[in-house]
Amino acid sequence: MEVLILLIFVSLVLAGTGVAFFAWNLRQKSHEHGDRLALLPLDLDDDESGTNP
Amino acid sequence: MNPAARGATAVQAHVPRVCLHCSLLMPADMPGAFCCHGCEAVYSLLHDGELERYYSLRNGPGTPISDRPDAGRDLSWLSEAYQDDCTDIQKHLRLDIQGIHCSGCVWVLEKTFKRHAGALKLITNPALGKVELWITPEFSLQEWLHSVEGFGYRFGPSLKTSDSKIDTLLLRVGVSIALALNVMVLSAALYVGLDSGPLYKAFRALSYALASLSVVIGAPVFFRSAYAGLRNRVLHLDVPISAGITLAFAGSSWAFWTGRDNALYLDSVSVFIALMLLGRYLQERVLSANRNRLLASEGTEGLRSKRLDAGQVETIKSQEILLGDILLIAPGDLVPVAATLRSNRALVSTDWITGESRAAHLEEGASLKAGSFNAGDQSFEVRATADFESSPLQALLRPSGSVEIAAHETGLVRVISSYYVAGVLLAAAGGFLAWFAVTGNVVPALEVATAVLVVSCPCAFGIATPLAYELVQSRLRAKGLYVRSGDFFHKLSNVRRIVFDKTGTLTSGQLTVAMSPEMANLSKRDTNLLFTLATHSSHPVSSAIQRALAPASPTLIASLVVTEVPGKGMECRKDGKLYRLGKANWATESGEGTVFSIDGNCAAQIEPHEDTRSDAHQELAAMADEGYEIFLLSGDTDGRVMRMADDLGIPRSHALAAQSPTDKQRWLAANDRGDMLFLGDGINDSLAAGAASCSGTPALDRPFMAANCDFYLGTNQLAPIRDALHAASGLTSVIRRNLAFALAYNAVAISLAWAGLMRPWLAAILMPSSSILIVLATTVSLSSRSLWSRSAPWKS
Repeated sequence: MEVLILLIFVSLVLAGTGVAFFAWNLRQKSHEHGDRLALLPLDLDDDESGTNP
Repeated sequence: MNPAARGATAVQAHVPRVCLHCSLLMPADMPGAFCCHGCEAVYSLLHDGELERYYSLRNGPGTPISDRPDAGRDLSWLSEAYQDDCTDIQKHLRLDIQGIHCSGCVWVLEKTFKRHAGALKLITNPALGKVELWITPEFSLQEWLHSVEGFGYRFGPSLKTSDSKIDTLLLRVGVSIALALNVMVLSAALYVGLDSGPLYKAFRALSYALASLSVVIGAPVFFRSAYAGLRNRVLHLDVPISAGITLAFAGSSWAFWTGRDNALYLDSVSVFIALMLLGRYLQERVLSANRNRLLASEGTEGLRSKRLDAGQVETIKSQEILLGDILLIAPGDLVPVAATLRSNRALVSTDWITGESRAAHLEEGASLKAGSFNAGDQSFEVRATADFESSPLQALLRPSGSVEIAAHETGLVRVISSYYVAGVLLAAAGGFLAWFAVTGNVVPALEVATAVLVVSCPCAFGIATPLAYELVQSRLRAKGLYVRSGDFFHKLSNVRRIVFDKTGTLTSGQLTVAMSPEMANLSKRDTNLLFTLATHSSHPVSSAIQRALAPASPTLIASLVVTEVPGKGMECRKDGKLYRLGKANWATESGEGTVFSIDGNCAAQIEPHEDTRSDAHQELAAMADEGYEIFLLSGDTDGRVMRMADDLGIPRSHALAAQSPTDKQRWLAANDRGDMLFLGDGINDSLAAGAASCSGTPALDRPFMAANCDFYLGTNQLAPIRDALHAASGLTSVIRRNLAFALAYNAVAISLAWAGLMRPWLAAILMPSSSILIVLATTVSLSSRSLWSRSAPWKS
């Protein structure tokens, strides 16, 4: 029984952390400029191709 | 080889032909590789700037640019865009932007931004249509803005704000889905045999806690909306959803506290809430995205004017203009109040307010109407003869606010909702009474009533209907039509008559001059002279002559002294001969229209005509074939309106000329029986758009017009209108089919509940299965080719 309580407590903490992270992510508004974030790897490509001879 | 020429070669391989820039289909008879001058210009700019990667990053077709982008717009509002946290080292601005629609657009903005010295950081937000930038004082902001506007984007002051309602809804959706999944896992353990012991008790209690949390988080969205609807005596979809959640949760709570697992439907309640929220989010997100694609309309708040005060020019809000103020009207600027001309002469266009397509030459002392534009290439001064308070623009630019209605509050959905609530309550009451009468025991009677309330969910409307709207709107968006109002498809399904404005709606706003035999037979020398005369004038007819002569590759005679005779035309002397281009009664001292004359003899009659949109003939004919009545309502002169009606095959009895804004409004109010679609572009159409039961506009550069309409066109073609009409019919059929499916499902589910055979595990299978099935059926129906077929005879 004690193990069960511990497991439920840990699960709730994990779930709560997940919800909190989800809420934080929404507040960052990153879902509104996902196109820009998706293009960031291209910047890295450009930088690398610029530095390589 | 220049980019356009490369494109022309490449396009020959494409069948059917698509525009090289926007990738939209081009009419078969359209020459060249581009659908419009704007696309051609932007294609060249992107290639010249080594920004071709835009095309590979763009997902699907782009937006045609239509007019050649104006890269030198007035940006006097920019000083108000700086944020409070600006320092001497770093500036921070927020701006609204119109025209971004894909990753390619974001990439172009970022790339051009970084090319400027002093660029620190740029965040582009396509969902909201905003950019936020951090720059140093070294950064040339105006230069960057002008260069980006050259690609067809438009900047404006930061007026749009993040829609907190949608953000909150997204948070509720995420949390509700997580809760529903957890309740499902816990319930699955109970269904497969966990029926005693501490684990059973823990899972049961946890399921109830999580389901309660799901109700607390998800249900208020529907409760608030249902309460508002009931207060206004409107039964919309949120009423049965709210009733379903309340009764199902109440029944399950009773089962939980009395230990009756046969009536414990916690997972069904949680899944139901999550699905309904998801459907609502889809609905709100699409409309919000379409609204945010355009700059926000400020009404008269956004109008700026240049006032002359003691020799100094100051930019003021047009609302501050008083009687007697002297205003400087730059080329392309608006005259915001009634005024008299102080300069010697001016070329003024009133198409925006009257629909009159021809620009007019005015001389000193002439009266100008509020809403006139400087169509010439030189500034002029006017004296205001009225305060802005009395300007008719006040009424014409006022937002009507009639289009912000949610889809779930209108049409068929509302009708169904009104019967749904009563039907479900009757079924539950009937089940309760029947079982109580037979068994004489209240417990099984309550179990049956709870089962009825849980299984009779309006999933078909809550999830499948929003999905259907989303799918159709996505397809229309790809074709260039953007829906702004939630009840657009309901209105459109009733449309039987379509009313067009002329100038700027059926026409592209440009004049064209046909190459007459007389013009074609001019000698090379005379062709050069005609071209040179036309080049020295900013009149739209002169511009049309230049375009008509372009294939003959004429040469500009730079040494020629050309004189403009105000209100008459242009003239010059060469080798002892007098050459004139202008009004016939001046150039040849007789006749009408515009001529090119040599020593008073007509060398070529110039016949300008308005350039209709490339597919106007085809689309109007198809609409008429499909049974729609077409009307033409214009402020232009009778002759030009009748010529246009004849050209487009509109009966003369359906063409009305010289209509003022209030005439149009009155005509629509008198004739619209809920079956009229009105399309207009100018400020003179804003009252009519508000009066029509359904309205649209092709004018994207005038935010006030799109703000008053149910949809706007992001393409220079009319074809998406007929696509939308077809889609509205198809959508109604799909929704009716969903209704039939929902009725059949409910008949089976309620029968099982009445028979006492419904169990929580069965509900947990039936409810999601019915939702998935109906979602699949909707997706397949709306993806079928027949729905989008250009030849589908939906109306006859």
